[in-house]
Amino acid sequence: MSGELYVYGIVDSRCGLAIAGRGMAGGSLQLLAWHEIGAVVSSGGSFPLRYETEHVLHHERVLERLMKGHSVLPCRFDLRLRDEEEVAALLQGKYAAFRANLRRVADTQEWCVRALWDPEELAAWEELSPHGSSERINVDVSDSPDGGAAYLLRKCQAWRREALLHDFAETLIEAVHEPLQRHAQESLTRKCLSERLILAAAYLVPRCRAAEFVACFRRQRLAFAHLQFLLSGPWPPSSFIDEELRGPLMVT
Amino acid sequence: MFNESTIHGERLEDFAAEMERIAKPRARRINADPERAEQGLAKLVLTLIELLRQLLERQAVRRVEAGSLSADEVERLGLTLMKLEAKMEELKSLFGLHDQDLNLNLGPFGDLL
Repeated sequence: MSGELYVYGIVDSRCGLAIAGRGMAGGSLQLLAWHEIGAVVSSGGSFPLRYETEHVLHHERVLERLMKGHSVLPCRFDLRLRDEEEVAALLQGKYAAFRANLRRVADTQEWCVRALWDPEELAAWEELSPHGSSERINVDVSDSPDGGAAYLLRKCQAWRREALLHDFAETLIEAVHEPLQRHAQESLTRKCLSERLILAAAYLVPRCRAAEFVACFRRQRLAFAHLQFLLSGPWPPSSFIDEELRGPLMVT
Repeated sequence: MFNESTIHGERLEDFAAEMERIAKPRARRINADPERAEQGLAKLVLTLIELLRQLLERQAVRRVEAGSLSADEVERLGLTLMKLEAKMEELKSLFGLHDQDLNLNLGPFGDLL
């Protein structure tokens, strides 16, 4: 038996714990409260020395069940604390930050949208882009294909291609992301993570608007049929937790 | 896979492959192991040099595109940058580093490179 406590997430404790069941090591889920916030933990068993995929899924399932009845700040996988005193110290030490973040994500869900495109489309896009079409590099490299001028020409082409990709991503974000973000309380976008993954966005969506958000995504998917889309959610709002709480404590 | 969450998308394997491809190493800290302190320090120094090299390269590209350089100047500038890139490769190899190792996470500002 281990005295350690496995921590799943931080919730508003004023309504008690809305779910029951077993935790990671077989112990019951319980809420350890400090004033208006609480940590959802489980205890009572020996934690495995080596985790399997099933343990990660179990952690996620507990969080998803918690989401049904609470606004939750998801803790990272395998956050274990020594005993109740250490949990209380954590809640006390980060009380203001936890409360502020719980207010921020109250009654919301996180939805993620990713978009892939075929880089071959770049040729068509180039015709429309101010970065493309006109050949601005007047360098003859036919005599020395391995020389300095040829090297610079290759670099020019690479930078130009990257600029084109960013132009395209900007246009795409404007067209795809704008309607979606109207249904969200907050959003985060990352563009051009690779030549194919042109958009990765997270949306903090009020629960009451989740159906509208998904319907909007379906419309966008039809409107931009040349792109591949992925929508996933609802997730605990891990992307919208302040930097102060991330890293060793919360999901990043 | 999960109880309530839903995933809507076309070919999931395409997204999985792309995410895996761009996944970066988790640890981007200086290696404090005394046995490998040299590599940790080299990683930091080479990251800063790579930043400067990329800035130089961008500036050179701008000048070439602007047409303000003679053919001879373009050739010499290109050779200089080419040698600089080759030297960087040599140093990375010497310290057992790869392109993805040369970066610094600046927290909310993202990655340096």
